[in-house]
Amino acid sequence: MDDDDEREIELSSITAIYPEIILNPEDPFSAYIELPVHPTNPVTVSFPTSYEGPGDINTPPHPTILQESGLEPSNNIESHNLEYLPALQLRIRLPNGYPADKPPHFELSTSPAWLSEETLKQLVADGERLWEELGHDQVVFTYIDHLQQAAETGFGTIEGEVLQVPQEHKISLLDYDLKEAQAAFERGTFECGVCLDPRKGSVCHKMMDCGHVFCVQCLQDFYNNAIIEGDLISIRCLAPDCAKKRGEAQVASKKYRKPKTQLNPSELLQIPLDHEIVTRYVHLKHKADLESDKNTIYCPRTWCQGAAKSKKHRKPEGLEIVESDDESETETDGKGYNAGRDLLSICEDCSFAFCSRCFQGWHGEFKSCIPRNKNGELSEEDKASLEYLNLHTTPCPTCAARAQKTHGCNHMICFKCNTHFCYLCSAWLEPTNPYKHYNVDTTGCYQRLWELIGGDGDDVGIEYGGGVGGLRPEDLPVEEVGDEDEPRDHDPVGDFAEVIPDIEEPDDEDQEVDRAPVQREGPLVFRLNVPPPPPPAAPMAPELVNPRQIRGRGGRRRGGRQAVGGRNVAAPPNDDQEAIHRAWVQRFVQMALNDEEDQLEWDSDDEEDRGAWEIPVR
Amino acid sequence: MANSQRRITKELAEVTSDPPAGVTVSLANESNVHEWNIMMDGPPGTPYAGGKFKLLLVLPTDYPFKAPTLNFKTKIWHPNVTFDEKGSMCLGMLKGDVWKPSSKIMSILTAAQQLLVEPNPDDAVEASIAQKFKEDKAGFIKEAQEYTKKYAN
Repeated sequence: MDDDDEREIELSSITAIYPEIILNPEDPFSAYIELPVHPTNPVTVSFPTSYEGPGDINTPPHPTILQESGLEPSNNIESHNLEYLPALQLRIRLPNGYPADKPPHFELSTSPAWLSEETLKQLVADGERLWEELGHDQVVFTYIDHLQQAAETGFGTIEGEVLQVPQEHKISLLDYDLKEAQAAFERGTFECGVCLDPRKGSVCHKMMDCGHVFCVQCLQDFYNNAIIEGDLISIRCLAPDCAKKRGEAQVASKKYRKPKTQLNPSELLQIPLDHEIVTRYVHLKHKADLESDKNTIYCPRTWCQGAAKSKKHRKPEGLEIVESDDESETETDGKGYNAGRDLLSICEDCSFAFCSRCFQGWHGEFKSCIPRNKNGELSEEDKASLEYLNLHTTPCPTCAARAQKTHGCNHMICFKCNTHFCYLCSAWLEPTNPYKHYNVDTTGCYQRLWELIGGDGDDVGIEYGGGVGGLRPEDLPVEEVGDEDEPRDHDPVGDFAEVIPDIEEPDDEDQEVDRAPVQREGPLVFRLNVPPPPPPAAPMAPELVNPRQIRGRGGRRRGGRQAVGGRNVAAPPNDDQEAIHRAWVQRFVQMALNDEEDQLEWDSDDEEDRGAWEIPVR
Repeated sequence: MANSQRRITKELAEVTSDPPAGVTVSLANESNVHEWNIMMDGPPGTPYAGGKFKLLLVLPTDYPFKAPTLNFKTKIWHPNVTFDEKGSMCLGMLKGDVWKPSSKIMSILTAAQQLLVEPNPDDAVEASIAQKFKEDKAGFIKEAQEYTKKYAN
């Protein structure tokens, strides 16, 4: 049986060359061999998510090798460079009549099926072709050699080509690559740069970022020691100049981010370092980051002293070091005015919620507070601001936002929360009938709706240009007057409302003579040094008087300087004026009670000045 | 640390069998591998040429995790070495935050030699010498030669 002999001889010599070949004990002329696929250059593999549409999971779509340029523009293709791919499985059967008359029978497969049917078919066909080329001779060795060469070139996917493999094989392929690479690493021998001894790969660790290899023992000794001593900067690759070179490379490649040279906690765990030590490292690192950031806010509780939670340095949970993103930190407001919620700080240790401006317990976003220095003291300037606020503003009873009245009656509506309240006593007023407060003699504000009609403070009031223009008959007595308003450029805290109407009044030539002598003290400060002249004979009907106008003309100064806070200084009443005033007030109140006060006739120029009555939104 | 001794022994063998040109190394005391005597010839072409300088290299017990120290025992007139009995020198790679455990003694020795060839006046420990080096090269060379003759023979 020459044929049999030939087959036997061939297989036994193949077994000598490839000892890993497995002969089928039941059929002496069939064999099985796995050929590792370790291409000379890593193969680029992509895992399209929906390859051939949402196919049945049980019948995986067939992978193909495509020219990269020929790829359909499918979304989200992520590609990986793989060095090791699962082995090519070759089943050989040499039929009777081989090699002279019949070709050998080859079967190829991979597990998982990462190589496409087409490629496999083509490779199988190569077997018969080679057999033909050899002139019907023993072809097994040639064929195995051919397959190995094909594998080395990644089955023709070397240059510019991407091997496409269905998504479901992604994990097993990546896993295989990793395991094989690890196994190859472990088989190797390395000289540890620290102890200078040659070490087996299995007791070495390869640095993830730079690839330097050190023995596990040296790394453990060094890093444990450094972490115990708190020497965080040393937790980096131990090779000389390594971090420096990588930093320079990054600068050269125009990535200006600070080069990342410190090791990741997860890598430390892989070396492996004790969990406890790595935890210490993470916490020390977090602390160091906080301390090096001058913007860190610390908990005002003296027993805590934790840092406020910040986006920049998140408190580590578990063992992840959260990379701080420096780019996201931008000032939200150029004027330095912080929306309330920006002030809310929460201690990352004791969860105490506090205000980062006044370092008191959190008081809600509406409350204005005074910044304090480190010792909890106020600066002179802040003290003055606070004093001013106390004298010339009234807090809303609901949200404590401070309001400074520039003019008008004492019925206030909070610019932040729309609460109705009394400017004199800060009492909450019923929105449906706010004026009741001034009409009941038990409130202490009885008949005081119009106190402070000219505004509260020396620097508020209607624009001088129109306001003091003439002392007209309709000028009604006002209990308190302030200096003419100026652009308010020195809000003490910048958090209270002022209403600044801009009422222009044409100068009345006839009234010019009545104008009070004005002493100019500063760019926009005027003081009237004479008492108002008696009202002209024909006073304007009170109902025609715009209360704002009244206030506007309330720019008459008695005695020039008002004592600060002297809200209740009563004016020496002029009987006529008082009568007019009272009549007007009664009418106004009556209309207000009917919610009709808007129907009082306003000056014509008011219409376009409505906007000025809007409370400025900050 | 046992590892430390082993590594030092290895490095000693390496440096004694193949030392940098003009350098000889011996243990200061045969029973202690942590102190090395270094004899360094003044590199040719420098004002230190012809001189023989003795240095002491001390390797800490936790070497190589901690950097060794290197001092001139022979007085040398050089911007980067203190001109006193200590002979402390400023060598970048020996600074605590720069030192890496896989830096080797061989490279320390070559770095020290290099410093004799190229003084670094911007990182000087002797300001007056550095100034002279920068402003009056000829005077510097002359003076350094004189001190070399005086001390390093």
